[in-house]
Amino acid sequence: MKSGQIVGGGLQDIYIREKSGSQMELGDLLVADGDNSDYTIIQVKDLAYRSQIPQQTLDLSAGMELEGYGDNLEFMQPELRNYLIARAKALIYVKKTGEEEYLTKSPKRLPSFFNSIRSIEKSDLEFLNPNKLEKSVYLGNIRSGSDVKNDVKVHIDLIKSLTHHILIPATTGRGKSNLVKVMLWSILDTEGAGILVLDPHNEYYGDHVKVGLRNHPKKDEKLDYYSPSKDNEEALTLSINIKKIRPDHFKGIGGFSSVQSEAMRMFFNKFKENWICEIAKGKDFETLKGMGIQEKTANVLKRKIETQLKVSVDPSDGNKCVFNSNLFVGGESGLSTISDIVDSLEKEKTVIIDSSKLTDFEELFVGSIISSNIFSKYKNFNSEDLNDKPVISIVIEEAPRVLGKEVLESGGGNIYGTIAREGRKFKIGLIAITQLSSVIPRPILANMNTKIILGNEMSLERSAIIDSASQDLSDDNRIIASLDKGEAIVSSVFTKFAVPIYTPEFNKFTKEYLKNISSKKEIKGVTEVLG
Amino acid sequence: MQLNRVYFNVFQNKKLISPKSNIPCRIEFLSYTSSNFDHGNLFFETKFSLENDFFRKYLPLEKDLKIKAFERDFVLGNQLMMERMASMARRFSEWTIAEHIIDSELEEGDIIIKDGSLQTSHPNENQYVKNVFKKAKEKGVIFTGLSKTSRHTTDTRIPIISAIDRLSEDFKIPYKEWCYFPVPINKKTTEHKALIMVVKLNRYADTPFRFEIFKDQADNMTKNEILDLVSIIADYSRDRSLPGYPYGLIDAHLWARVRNEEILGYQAMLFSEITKLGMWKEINSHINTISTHDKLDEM
Ligand SMILES: Nc1ncnc2c1ncn2[C@@H]1O[C@H](COP(=O)(O)OP(=O)(O)OP(=O)(O)O)[C@@H](O)[C@H]1O
Ligand SMILES: [Mg+2]
Repeated sequence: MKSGQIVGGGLQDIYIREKSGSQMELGDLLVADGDNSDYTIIQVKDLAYRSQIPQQTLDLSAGMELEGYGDNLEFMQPELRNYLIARAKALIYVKKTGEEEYLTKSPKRLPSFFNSIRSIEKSDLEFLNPNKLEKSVYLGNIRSGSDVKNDVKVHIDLIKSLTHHILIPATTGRGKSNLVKVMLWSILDTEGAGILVLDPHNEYYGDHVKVGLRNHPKKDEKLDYYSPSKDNEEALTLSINIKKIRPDHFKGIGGFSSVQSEAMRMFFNKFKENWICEIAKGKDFETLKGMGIQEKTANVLKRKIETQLKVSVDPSDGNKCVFNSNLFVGGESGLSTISDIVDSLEKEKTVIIDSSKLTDFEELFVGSIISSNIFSKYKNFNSEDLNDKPVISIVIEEAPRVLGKEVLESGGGNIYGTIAREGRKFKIGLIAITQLSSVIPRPILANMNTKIILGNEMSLERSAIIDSASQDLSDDNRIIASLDKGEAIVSSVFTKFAVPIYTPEFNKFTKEYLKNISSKKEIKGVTEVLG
Repeated sequence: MQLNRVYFNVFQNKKLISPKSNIPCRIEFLSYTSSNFDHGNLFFETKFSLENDFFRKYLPLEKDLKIKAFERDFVLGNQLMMERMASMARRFSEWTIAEHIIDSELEEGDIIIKDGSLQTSHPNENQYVKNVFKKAKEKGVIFTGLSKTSRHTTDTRIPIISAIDRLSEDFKIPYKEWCYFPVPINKKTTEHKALIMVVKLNRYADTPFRFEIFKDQADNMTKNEILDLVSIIADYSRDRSLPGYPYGLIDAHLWARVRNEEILGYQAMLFSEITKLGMWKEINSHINTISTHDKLDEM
């Protein structure tokens, strides 16, 4: 039990003297009780030594100790004279107004002077109880400093949070993928969302060795898994018939210049669904001239089609189109892949695409094709129809690949940028995972209305995240730097305050979950929904 | 007018312990000292103003603070004479409170250390001291005093403490902590009922101090018992903030010290009352506030 007493400060900073041995930590949640079944939740933002003994004396006596003169000296009443002062900030004011009824306010008043302070308890968080919200995503458990309150589970509104994008920033290895796995697992349990996961590490689905989403009891109804590799027996084959590719799928992806893009459109207009093969075959000068395309441009396009889509022609076989990868194919195969995926998403399924064997371009391009399809489909729904549709969210790793300032500026934008900017109007959002937030344009960062911030030791990155957060996190710089694996802060326009959480390790979490299922037990513990 | 604050603490096994009885650790009162002529004699009188009347039982009687000024007092001059007379209230209350502490807080074999000398300097003080010493003897509580400064000098007018300190260095005595006693005192002041010692309680002490033990008790102690007593106090004098000075006294200074702003607060209240009485002009010119600092206050 941590305890202390308020000894000074103001609304910005409340100073608390810590009871000796309390071991307060950065990020600890504490409670200052009021007189009328009300209380204020405050959070430790910094800790400092204090002493009643003048600094000079302390310095001198340390010197004596170090230089071997310290014998026969001591500190009397050390716990009284040397102590820790915590600098804390009020997060939220809560007043119980009735049975399970609470009034919450952002704190505008100070808890009373010399008020004693205690650790937060489960009952202090009951005001977060679900407001009859059945559709939600589980993020983890409430955490006070590094102390995890396992019985207070943190959920966030599924539809709102996914529609308004989620940013998951952290340095490598802090548990981004683990968090997303846990979130996706919980989404498989709910209705109302279709999730497209571009998985460059093939880490979400799992296999015979590694636990993954495939272990979810509802995987048959709710989970699709695609892989371009034919050896992957559990996966549907990801092959896309090039007839389904349109020039605008390349928008901002693959590094096409505007002249080249224009040329692609000309090909498409003339040759319709065969346009890619026609580019690969090459055209004579006259034909090109008729289309208003320079020979040079056509050659670059041909080369790009060959390298990026691995589509070429076989001159020995009457210039027939040859498909050198399993991904982009011709003939009659792969014609329904895209529409199958779009259908699944519309049926509230989670679709994982193993892109571990794909190049960067291939991964983003496949994502672009699917996203563009779903986007234009949703865009044409009227608002009533849209209401009945599930929210679609696209999980993208290393988001700066498509949301970085440079790519967005140079390529004239891409579908991911479009979704980031206007997707919420059409119930389409992103779950953007990134190590580098600073390279994402500020308006886009600010548009990501939920940020699940994991540990980050790069101060530039922390600033970018803090600057664009929904709550004032200016005091959390140090806290974010010191977050351990799985520890996070949820800052969202849909949460009442920046909620510190710990996301359990996926393996343990699923083991527990499956154990509870098999013993037909209800999953115990109060479920808290924020939002 | 004087703000008086008397504080005590009790340590056992080097830990601060709470009082057993309901005696407050900090007793605070305002005293008002005035001089009046009565039948051609100058008298000084002191009255108390207590915020908490419960404190009164710990204080000396006001009648004992009425003193006739003698020739030798006049030598001091008006200001000093007034200060000396005004200080009686605090000095006397130290004795009365000490008596209460011995009575309700201490056990046989306990030691009480008074901040300052056991010497008396006011005519009516003797009776109070006698009472305390009697109580101490009855209960077997050893009564001692520790002074940061000493008025005693050698024949050659060197302060006695520095003289002994110098001696200890000159003779390279092999002890890091030591005490010297008895320090002989002038025959004329036989009134002094204490064994006077000079003690260096810690090797890192800047200076030795004057230490006194109630004479009746010291006379019944062997040399070793006296050394044991000093050793116990030395064990309490190892605090890094002021090595060689008992920690209880450091703590007491912290709680008993009167800060300047407190004085100013009282001063403001006083002025406002005087103004209400329409006597401000008259009195203002006579007002002279004195705040006493000593070295410990800077801690
Ligand atoms: N909550 C957690 N508790 C314990 N261990 C965890 C937790 N989250 C992640 N880990 C472990 O930390 C390691 C890295 O986790 P993860 O792959 O999720 O990090 P990441 O941020 O996605 O890293 P990368 O930048 O490499 O993608 C893994 O070995 C994982 O098991
Ligand atoms: Mg990862």
